[in-house]
Amino acid sequence: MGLRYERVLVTGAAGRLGSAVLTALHRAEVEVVALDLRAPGAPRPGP
Amino acid sequence: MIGPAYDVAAVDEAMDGVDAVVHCAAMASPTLGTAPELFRANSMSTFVVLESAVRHDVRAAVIASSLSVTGLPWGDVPAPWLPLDERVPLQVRDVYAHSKQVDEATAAYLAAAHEIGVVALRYPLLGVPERELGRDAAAFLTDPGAGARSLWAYLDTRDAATAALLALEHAERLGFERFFLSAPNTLATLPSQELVDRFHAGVPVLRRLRDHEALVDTSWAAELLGFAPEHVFDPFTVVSG
Repeated sequence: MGLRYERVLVTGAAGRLGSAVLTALHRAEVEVVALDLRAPGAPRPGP
Repeated sequence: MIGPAYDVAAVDEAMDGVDAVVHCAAMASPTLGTAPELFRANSMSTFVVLESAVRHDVRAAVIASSLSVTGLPWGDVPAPWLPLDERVPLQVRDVYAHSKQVDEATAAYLAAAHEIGVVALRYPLLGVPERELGRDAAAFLTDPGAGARSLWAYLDTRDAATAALLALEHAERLGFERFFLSAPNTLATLPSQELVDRFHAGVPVLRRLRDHEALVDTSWAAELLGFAPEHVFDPFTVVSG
C-alpha cells in the first residue's frame, strides 16, 4: 500500500498499536519519525 | 525520543518536517492511573499533538479512539442496539470513555477550524493470536459473560495498523470522521445471537446475526476507507489447542 505522505510522526511508537503502525509504514516505504511520545504507564491498548 | 505526549516542547520538536500524524500514545485503560492522570495522558495529549500538527501545517492525522467511547466496556450502560454502528449515542459514565469523547471532540473542532483532516478509529481489544486474542478467547470459553461489555470484539494489531494507514490516506478528504473497527467475528465460541440472548437480553437486534459475526458493524469503515481485515482469529483453536 502506497501513502501520499513522506514523513509520518507516530506517537506511542513503543506500544502495541504504535509498533504495528511503524511496521506498516516501513513496509509502505514511508519515512517515519518514530517517537515514543507516550503517556506514562500505558501498556494495554483497548477496548 | 521519549517523553509524555502532552509535553508541548517535545511534541513541537517531533513535529518538525512531518506531513502526517498517527497518534497512538494513550493510557489505554482506566485501571492504569487516577482520573486526572488518565485525562491528562489521553485528552491533553491528543490536544497537544493535534494542535501542534495544525501549527506545523500537517494536513492529515489519525487518532486512536476506542470502542469504549460508547460507555459500554467500562460504564454500566446497556447497548442501545446491536450490532453497534456509528449512530449510537455515547453513554459516557466513566473517565476513560470521557477521555476518548474529548479526544474525538478535539479532532472534530480542529478539523472544522483548520486545514487538517482527522480520522478517529474506534478500536476494540487489539492483539495477536499468541497473546491477547488467545488469552481472551480462552477466558470467554470458560466465562462467556466476561466479554459481554466489550461485545467479544477484537482486531488483530496488523489489521489495526493497516486501518490507520487507510484512514491517513482518506483524512484530508473526510475532514473529521470516526469509525468503529472490528474483526468480522467475535472471540467467543458461542453464536452471536446466543450471546445477545444470554448477555444482552432485550437489546434490539437490527438484523439477523450470522454464526459468530461481530457485534460491531464496520460497514461505514469498509465503505469510506476500504477497511477489510485479513487476520481473523478462530476462537475454536483455543478449544482444540
